[in-house]
Amino acid sequence: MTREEYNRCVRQYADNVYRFVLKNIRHEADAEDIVQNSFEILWKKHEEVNFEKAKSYLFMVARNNMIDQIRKRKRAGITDDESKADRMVKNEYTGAGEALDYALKQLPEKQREAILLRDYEGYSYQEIGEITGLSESQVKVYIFRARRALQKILVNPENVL
Amino acid sequence: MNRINKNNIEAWLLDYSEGQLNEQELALLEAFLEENPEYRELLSDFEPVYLPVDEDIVFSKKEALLKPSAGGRILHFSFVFPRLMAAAAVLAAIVLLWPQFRNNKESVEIRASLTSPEIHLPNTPHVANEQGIKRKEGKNKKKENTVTRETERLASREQVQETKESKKEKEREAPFTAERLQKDMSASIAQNPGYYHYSDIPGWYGSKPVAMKDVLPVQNRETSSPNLMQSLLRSEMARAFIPESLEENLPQAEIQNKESGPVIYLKVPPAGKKIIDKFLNR
Repeated sequence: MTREEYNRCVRQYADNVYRFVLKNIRHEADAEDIVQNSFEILWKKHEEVNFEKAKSYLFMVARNNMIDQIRKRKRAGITDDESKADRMVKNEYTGAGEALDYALKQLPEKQREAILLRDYEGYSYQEIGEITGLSESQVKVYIFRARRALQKILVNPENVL
Repeated sequence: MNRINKNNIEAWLLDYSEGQLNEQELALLEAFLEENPEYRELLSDFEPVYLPVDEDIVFSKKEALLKPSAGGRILHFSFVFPRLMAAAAVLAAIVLLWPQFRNNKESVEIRASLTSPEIHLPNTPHVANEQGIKRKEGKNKKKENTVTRETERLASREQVQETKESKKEKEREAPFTAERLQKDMSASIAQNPGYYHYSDIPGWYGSKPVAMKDVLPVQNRETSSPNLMQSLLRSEMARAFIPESLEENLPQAEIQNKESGPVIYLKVPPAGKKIIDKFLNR
């Protein structure tokens, strides 16, 4: 990948990677760090990575960084704001987007990753498998479960997994 | 697709819900659900939820991730400026003080020759008596004139030599062009990573001459102070010994926040444009 292609990746994919990471970890500063780190890694490896594969590579690197970050946060005992969950259960959410965000947050990590890659980025199941290291069949299973879970949570917030 | 089993039934159900199964696969699924009716429940009330893309979420630091083109250089102002300014200050001090230093040196020599000719006349004997002194004074007057003439001759010779040296120095120095400026700057900032891209400053650091306009957009790589940009330009102009680079003719910089990120604009007054054109031999 050339320098120009790398810059094109920045312009085309930075928002997508950031959205994917932010929706998963829900922490802006950490998400920004992960995106920056992912692009730094892409630049270091730019001579080895084809432009055609750059997007998948970026998401894979971002995902790995994200998992590390989640583990660090867990080790440090940092938890998300619980008040939102309480409000959701009390039906205090008014916006559909906010409710969907809440529902997404309730999904297990792998389901959330898979459905975000599918719906946000339009990746095929095979591509999601390459990024997440899962088989195509496993990806489909996770996405089916995620869609069912989202439906249940949105119908009744108390059905938290 | 693989044979249906309890581990992959949900994958089959997903394909079914998305209409991805052909007739043969539909028949296989139907047969499996006949044998395992408990899985039919998974489809009974299934209404898949699709996530809408949240376009409002954007990464605001894209510009910082970009890599400049091969010909360009990046500056880290916090690192470069102290050095540039220090170098400029030292250079300016040398340029300003050198003539004074030379004049002082010459005037000291001349004064010495008038008040204590012995210093410059090593073969002059000391005289003990007044007559000798008077006689000597007469001789000294003649010698003072000789010393003055000699000093003037030496000073003149030094001036000639200095002129020759400065001419040689000027000959060695290539004419000032945009290419030379870029080369000089590249050398000075080669080891300093940072955030400004020189080739993004049209007409100043790019190797390709760009039509000079009253306002020159400069892409900013990271939020920074316009004063820094302005200072850089000033120090560069000072470094290039442009006598016309007066305060009022220097470019003014201001920062504006655009949708694509912060952009620095250089406002070049008409007199400044003339200077820049002179820089670029246009």
